[in-house]
Amino acid sequence: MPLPDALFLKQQFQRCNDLPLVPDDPSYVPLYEADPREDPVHVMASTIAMLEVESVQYFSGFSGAGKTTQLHRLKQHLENDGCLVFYASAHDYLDLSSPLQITELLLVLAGAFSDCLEDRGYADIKADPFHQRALRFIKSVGTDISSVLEMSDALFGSKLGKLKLTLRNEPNFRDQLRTLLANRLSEFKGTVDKFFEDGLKAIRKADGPDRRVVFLFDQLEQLRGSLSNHAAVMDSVQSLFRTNRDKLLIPLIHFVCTVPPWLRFVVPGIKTTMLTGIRLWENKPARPPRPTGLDQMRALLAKRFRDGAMDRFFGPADAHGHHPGAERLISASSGVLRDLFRLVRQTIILTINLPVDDATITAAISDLRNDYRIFASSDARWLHTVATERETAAEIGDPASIERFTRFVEQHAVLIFSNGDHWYDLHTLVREDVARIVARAKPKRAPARKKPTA
Amino acid sequence: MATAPGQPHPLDEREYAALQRRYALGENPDWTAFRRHRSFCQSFGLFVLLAPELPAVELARRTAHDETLAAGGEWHHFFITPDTAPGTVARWLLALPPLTPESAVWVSASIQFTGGDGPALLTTVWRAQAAILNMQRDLLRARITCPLILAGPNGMDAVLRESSPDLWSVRESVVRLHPAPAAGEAASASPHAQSLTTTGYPEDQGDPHLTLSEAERLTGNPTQTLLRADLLRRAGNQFATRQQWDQAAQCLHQAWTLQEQHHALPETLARTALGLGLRYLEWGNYPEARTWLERHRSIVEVAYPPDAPEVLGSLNNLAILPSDQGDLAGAEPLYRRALEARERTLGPEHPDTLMSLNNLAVLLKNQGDLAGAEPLHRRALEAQERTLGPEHPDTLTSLNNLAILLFQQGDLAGAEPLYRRALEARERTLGPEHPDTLASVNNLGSLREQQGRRAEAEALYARAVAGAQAKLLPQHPHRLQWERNLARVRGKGK
Repeated sequence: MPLPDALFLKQQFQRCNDLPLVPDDPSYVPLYEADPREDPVHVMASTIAMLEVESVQYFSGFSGAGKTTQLHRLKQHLENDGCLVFYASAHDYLDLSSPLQITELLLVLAGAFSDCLEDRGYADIKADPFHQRALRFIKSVGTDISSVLEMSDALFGSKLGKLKLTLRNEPNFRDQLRTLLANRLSEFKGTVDKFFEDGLKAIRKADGPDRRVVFLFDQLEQLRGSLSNHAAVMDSVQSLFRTNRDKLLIPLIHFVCTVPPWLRFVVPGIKTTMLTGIRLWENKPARPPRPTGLDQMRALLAKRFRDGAMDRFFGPADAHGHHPGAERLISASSGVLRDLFRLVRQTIILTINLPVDDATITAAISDLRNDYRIFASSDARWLHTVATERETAAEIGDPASIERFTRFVEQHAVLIFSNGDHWYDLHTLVREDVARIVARAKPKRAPARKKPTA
Repeated sequence: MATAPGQPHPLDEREYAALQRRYALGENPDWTAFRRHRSFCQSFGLFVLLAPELPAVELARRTAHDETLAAGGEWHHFFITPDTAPGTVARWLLALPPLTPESAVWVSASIQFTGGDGPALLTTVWRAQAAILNMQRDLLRARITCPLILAGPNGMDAVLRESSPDLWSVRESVVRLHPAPAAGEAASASPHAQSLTTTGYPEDQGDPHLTLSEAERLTGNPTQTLLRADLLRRAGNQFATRQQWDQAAQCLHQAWTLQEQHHALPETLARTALGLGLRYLEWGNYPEARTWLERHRSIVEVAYPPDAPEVLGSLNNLAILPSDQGDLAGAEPLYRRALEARERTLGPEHPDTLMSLNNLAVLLKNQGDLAGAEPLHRRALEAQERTLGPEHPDTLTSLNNLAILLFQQGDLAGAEPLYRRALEARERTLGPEHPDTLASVNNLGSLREQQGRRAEAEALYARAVAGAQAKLLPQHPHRLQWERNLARVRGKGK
């Protein structure tokens, strides 16, 4: 018996969340597996297989592009390949809206690795986890900062896992820790390396000598400041990866870390594997539709709207088997997965009668469009250049220009695509607004001056 | 190894090294993919390898040859010349003995096609060969049970596609060899490139046993031999940090042997040779240190331009050797060359330039030219204090050297504050048992002895000897010298 409309809508709303998926999830759609050259999991896994002993890889993409889902896939792939894989999220350990320094990052990396090993029951690490070692280190160097010691005692002495919360929630503690470790970087790095080494020994002791160890550190790409400290956060991340990238080399361990998509534009030389957007159009002046990308988005929706739910929600399919309402939402999403789900959920919220009508879909699209109306008219001209040239239009070496570019990439108003070479374009909803603003602002041609007659 | 008429493109060592640097095949994503693809090929597989220049084809041939032998396969190659009659390549291929899948068969153009109308001629000759290969494709696929690599300059693919369409249609892969992405080049790097440039892991910190077990894990995997050698070198340096000299030497020598046998890149060989040289220096085995530092110098002099930091660094390293190890007069031009080049390329106050200045001063002092050495020492020290700070290890080395010079000139009053300052700073920054600190202790002991303050001298010598017995090998020249000093001052007291 079909569900009443209200319950049906509620069920669909819940099914259309944009939480990360594991590959076994019934809603999972393989988006990248078809072409190994564009499959970030293939690239990262084969790099680990080839380098065998140790590596560091940076994985990047827009928020909501599906990085965490791909990391879950990578984890499963590597585990099937015999690797021992640990996963941790920066979100559990750091306040991602504040500037970050290398000492804090090292602290949380080792702390997160320690937590992973303890969770798996490695006795040697349980007996001397990283937070105890960090405490010993702090005591050994910080005798003159009694408040830090008191706080550290309270921190590390009591409950497991408190390090996470305190680092994330106590700005004072972070400041004091920063001061304490500022001039002790190499010593602290030694402590961190020793911990990773002991962790590896514990693994080898328990699991034998043959397993490759992989540590995945997710969500560091979410580092972003607010309006007031955007530049400070960007500077700190830039400085961290410019001058201290070597500190992130963990001997004999494969380390994969997510980083902001704009990092490669501000740190020359850093190599990142990009999870680019789903291409809904080709990189040609008229942007002809790209059927493969559209089919992928349709498949994503079909997995969420199961058992005839597509027809019930969007109405009957057309002659091609497509639902016109769904097609509008797909087009408005520009291939950004998070936007697709936001649009669908907003449509569900606004729906009164089934199937959904055009006006409701228009309202949902307008709602998302409003989120993108974040640019001044001077930005509009620059965004127009991106749309026309399909290039970054950022002046390399000009911090203001780079800052603008990174801000729009972060907000995915500017999208990065790849088919071999990377190319850039605007989000559909932004593009429409930009075109309108630029057309309106076009200077009118001055009337020709007449030559005075003799 | 079967060969047929024709000659490969000759590469002298310098050109070979330059090509290796440019293409870095060990880390080149194109080559890595090719190597991996080849290793998957369990029977016939046609690979077309294209390079932007003929010398790069020869580099690829040499590398593929070494990799094939390392994997336990047989290697056969044929060089096409302008005189190679149509059908010759096919006949030669069909006459090959049965081969294992690890083997490889290589066909490329000989040297005679370079320059002038060579490229046009090559196209004609290849076209004729390819037409026959196309006719014999089924026989070739049945007879050759390993990868067949047809290599040539970019554009050869068009000739093959056109003249040998059926064979072309069953090709395994077309490999387009590009120069390796330079470090720091992000945007254009292919996906594989990113992590293959992750060098910079700490060389001398960490548990050598763990590193060694990782190296042992790779034993028996012929494709990972050079990686294993890297780990052995790292383990050797880690043992050395722990002052476990025997294990350190064993690992470093094993690394060197593997790298030499498997034709590691000059950069890699240079790193291991330098590691061995510096370790022997640390252990006080100066003849061995000289051998390895000379070897390092000869590698980098071939692999790098004359003013490259690696070359100048190698000259500087030789200068560290004590004066009784070699020809002082012969060494002076080398030191002057290093100093002059560093002043020109790095600037007069760069730390490396100042270290060269200091080394030249030491050399002059050892030649007996104390007056010539003093201003150089003072200039180096003054600049280091200003640019590096008063407690930087380089500054303290210069301070100590100037003190020794003053001491040798008989200016005990001038030497004493410098010795004391060097000792105090080294105790503070390096720790009381560091060999450099112990050297400062001994130097101050010599000063006290010279001043006639025997009891103080004895106490200082005794401290240096006790430290040396814990930190230095029994045959280390410093330890022997300090023991002699202690015995002498004690003998005087009797």
